[in-house]
Amino acid sequence: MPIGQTLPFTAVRWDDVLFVVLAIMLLGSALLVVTMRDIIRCGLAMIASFASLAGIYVLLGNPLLAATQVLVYIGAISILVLFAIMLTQTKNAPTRLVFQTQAWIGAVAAVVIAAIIAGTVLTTTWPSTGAVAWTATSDIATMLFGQYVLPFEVVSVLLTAAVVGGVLLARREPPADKEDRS
Amino acid sequence: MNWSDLGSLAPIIWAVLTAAAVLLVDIAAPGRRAPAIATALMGLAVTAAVVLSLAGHTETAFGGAYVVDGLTAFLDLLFVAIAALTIMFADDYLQPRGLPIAEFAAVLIFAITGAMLVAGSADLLLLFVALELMVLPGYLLAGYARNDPYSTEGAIKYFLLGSFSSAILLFGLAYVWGLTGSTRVDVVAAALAQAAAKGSIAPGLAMGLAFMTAGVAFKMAAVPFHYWTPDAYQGSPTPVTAYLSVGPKIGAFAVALRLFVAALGPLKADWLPIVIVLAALTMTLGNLVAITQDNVKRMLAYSSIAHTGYILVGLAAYAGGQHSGISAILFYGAAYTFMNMGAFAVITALQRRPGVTSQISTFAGLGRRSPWLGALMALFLLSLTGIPPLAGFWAKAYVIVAAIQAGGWLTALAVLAMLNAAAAAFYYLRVVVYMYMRDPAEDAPPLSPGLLFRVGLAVTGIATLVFGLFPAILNAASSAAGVLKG
Amino acid sequence: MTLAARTWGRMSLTARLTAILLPLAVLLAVGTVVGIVFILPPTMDFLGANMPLVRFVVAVVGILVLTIPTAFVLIYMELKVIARMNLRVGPNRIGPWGAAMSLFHGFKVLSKEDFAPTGADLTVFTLAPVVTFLASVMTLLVIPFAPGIFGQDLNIGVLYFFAMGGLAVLGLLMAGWASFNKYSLLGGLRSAAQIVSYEIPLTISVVGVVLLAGTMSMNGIVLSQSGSALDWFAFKQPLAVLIFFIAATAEANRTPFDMTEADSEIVAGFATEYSGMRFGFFFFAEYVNVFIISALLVTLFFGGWTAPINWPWPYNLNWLDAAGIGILWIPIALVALVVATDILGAAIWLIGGREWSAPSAFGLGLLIAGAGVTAAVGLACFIAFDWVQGIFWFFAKTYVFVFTFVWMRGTLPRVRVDQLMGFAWKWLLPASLLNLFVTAAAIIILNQPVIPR
Repeated sequence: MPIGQTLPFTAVRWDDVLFVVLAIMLLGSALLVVTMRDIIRCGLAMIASFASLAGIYVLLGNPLLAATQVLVYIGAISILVLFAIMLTQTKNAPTRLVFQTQAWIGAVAAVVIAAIIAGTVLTTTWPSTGAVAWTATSDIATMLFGQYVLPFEVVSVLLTAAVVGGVLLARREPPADKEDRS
Repeated sequence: MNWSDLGSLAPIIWAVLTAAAVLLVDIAAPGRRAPAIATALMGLAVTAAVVLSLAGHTETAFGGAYVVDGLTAFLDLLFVAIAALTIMFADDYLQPRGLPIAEFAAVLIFAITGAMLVAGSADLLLLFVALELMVLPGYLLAGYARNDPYSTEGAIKYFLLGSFSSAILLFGLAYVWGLTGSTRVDVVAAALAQAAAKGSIAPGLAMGLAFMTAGVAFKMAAVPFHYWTPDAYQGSPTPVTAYLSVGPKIGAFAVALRLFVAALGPLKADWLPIVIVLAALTMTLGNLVAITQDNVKRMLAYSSIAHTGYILVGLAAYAGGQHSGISAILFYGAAYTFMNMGAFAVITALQRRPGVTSQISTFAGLGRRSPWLGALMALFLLSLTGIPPLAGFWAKAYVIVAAIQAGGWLTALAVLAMLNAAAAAFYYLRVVVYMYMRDPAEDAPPLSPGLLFRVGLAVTGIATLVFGLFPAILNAASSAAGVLKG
Repeated sequence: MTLAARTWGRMSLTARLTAILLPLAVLLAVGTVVGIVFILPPTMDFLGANMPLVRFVVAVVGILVLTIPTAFVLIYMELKVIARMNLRVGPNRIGPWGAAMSLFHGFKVLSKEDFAPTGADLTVFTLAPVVTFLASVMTLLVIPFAPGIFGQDLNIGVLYFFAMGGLAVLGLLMAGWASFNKYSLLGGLRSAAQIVSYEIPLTISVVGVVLLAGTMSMNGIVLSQSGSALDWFAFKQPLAVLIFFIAATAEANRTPFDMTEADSEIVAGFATEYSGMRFGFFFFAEYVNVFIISALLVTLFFGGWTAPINWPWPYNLNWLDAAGIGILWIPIALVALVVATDILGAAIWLIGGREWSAPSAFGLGLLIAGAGVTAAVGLACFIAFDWVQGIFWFFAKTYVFVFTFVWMRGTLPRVRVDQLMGFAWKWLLPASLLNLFVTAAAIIILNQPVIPR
């Protein structure tokens, strides 16, 4: 959206402000996902972090990707995750997640890796930096069905395999009388 | 894209059609086993024929994203053979347990399709997507025995760690893309060659290299990224274990060849030390832990880790400047496929009756209960050990010779590999001792594998013998396939 | 007593008023001058510099406000229409024909106790209606009401619409979980399963339209249907209309797909534990949703704000041009109103004889004259301004579909849960894929150029 370049009465750029706000939301909600006890709230925080990420995609000039992020990650995947949790979770479940036994080591490792990544990214001279390039939807389509048509089609095969497997794992047991039909 | 691109892709298309046909046959004749198996095997035969008809060509398709060359043809044939053998062995295990075969075959062929795509991909994005297509059906197959808690446990561990490693690999690929601006392997290699010529590599690239190495090492189960292997291998239905121990592993080495050799070849001086350390750790730890195992499946799982280490020696030899390292990898892959699948097939035959474990005590007196099975198992185990006139010996020999020729630290690595091979003899021969020097259990029922199963077992046995007696046959093919630019 | 108090006590009423009002007036005048001189220019500069932002804020506020009358009208309409279909009278107490019913309904909901059950997850419980309502309202942002009258013309409008529309289910799921009630949970789970399933055929059915229009912008889709009714995509995509209509009904949780609040099965579904304004938000969102899917149906398939016949495009009534002499027509209209009221009132009073008192006669005169003048002005605007035409046609078409949804609620029984899911996956999804395939094939065969906008 072509909003003004800077915040009114100041020289602060809108892009920077929005980025900082979204980044804080993203990191904050991501942190909540791993620290909160109530697994449903964790899922909701995950949705918040997906939404912040969609905002960052828009800032980076790709609203199509942002809309897809919201449509797929929030509208479908997170909903189904919550769905599965709600079907299986009860209020009598242990309040403390059993997997959180290595939280401190994990936290230290995460911080160390984040520091290393930040260090390498900052000290590397990246070939293409500069203005945000607004990506037209038709450009993405051209790329997807031109240069990357083969990976695109392979993804469809992948999804077919996944659907077959999902049905396989989820379907009801066959009745016992079908045992000897070879 | 034009129509001739589809011609280059014909093996892949045939494989996908085969999988679809198997599913359709199952819809037409629900629950019938023979039609599904026949369809799958015929489809795979056609696929193999198509691969052979393309062999010798070198062409690129889809704007350079997919490449047909000797490596593609060699690996494609190997993967088709793996799928065919797995299907032959599978029914003897699945049928007594009431598990369907059609979905098994279809999902397996999808996985093989992914592996074949990996073998021919010259685009990082395609490489990743194809890798996912290769491993995702593997998670399903590992959990194929839904009512077996071990199967489910193994599948979940495999799935979680596999997903993480995929994400890590993708993260590394993103670094490479960010620094080179392209996903095409040749463009990436050219850009990296330029960067490498300037001397030190960018920190971001080093980071990407680290992530990619970790991701690929996960897939090929190299120490210290091997934790999923024993549980996934032990828990899975035995035919699936047979597949997992060769299919995704050789697929991961195909990734290594297309990614590290073709795309990151200019940086080989930078990743050589990592591979040396990985190889040394992997074979040593794999062998040492395998010695302590009482469960043959778990023992073979650790032994497969050790074999990963040997194959990595080939990769290290390539990075050390010895181009024959690549053909050594391919030879090893092919030889390992037949002898390892054969060994798992014998376990499958033992486990035909539900409830039979794969503990080493199950093998007691196998040589007397079933002389043929005992002899074949001994053959496979001796070949895995690396006893001279068998395929396994030549596989190790080529790898070690390549490493010695490369010299330097690699000589030390070669020596370590030889020491490891000697140590491995202990646990392989232990099974042979059980088979021939212990009495069978009183109530052991006779073993009667199916016809298809016997054919498959014969194929693996003959291949192990023939490639051992006349290694030149396989070596000619792998040398022709191993002329990879990088 | 101080001097000031004594003086105040001696002052007359007029003097007191003057004493209060005069300083106030002076203050206001000074304030206005100061404001105009010192504050207005930078403010105007700021607004001018951030015109898109201002437009955006105005659009968002406008859309948020628009939902209130929409929901009120829809609720009244539903009550009344279904009552008629059931051979009842329906609301008839408050206002003429009970028309103020919705308003008082709203007051009732506002004044009720805001209750949350024990064991409820209060944060999630409170957020749930907000999420649902906002998801509905945000979709309105991309709907073009008339030429130039729209919140934001995104070039991914359709995708944005479905992305935001899909969020509504999140609110229902949150409500179902946070209520700590098994019926609520069942309702929430049903809504999640249903909406996720129906979203797929819904989205795929629209892809055909996007292919034909060559754009995902809502405005672009409407523009590519301009012409007569025969240019509407409904006639090029009949199957898509059907699929869209069915799937949209399910998306909005309307009868016959209102499994989420099936009162004969699970009390009131996700809304069981809600009361007061929290419930009000769900209620609001539901009716706004009906309006929105009708609006989307009109936009995508029935030409949006375009007229059904090849309408002579806005006839330029120069004498009505606001920038020129036209502004004079406002006082003229007012004068005409006064004169007509006088004439009509006098006529009624004279003809009606003793039964009409003067005020009531003139009141009736004012009503008739007002209606006449409004109609005349409206007609003139309709002829002169394309956006007035657009709004008229848009709302007319939309309310036809709103009526259809109400009609369906009054007519059709509820389906069963398994039938509902089976229908989505086994019939709607293949049908929508077929539609997409046929559309794409037809475009290639007819070689209709698809111009990316």
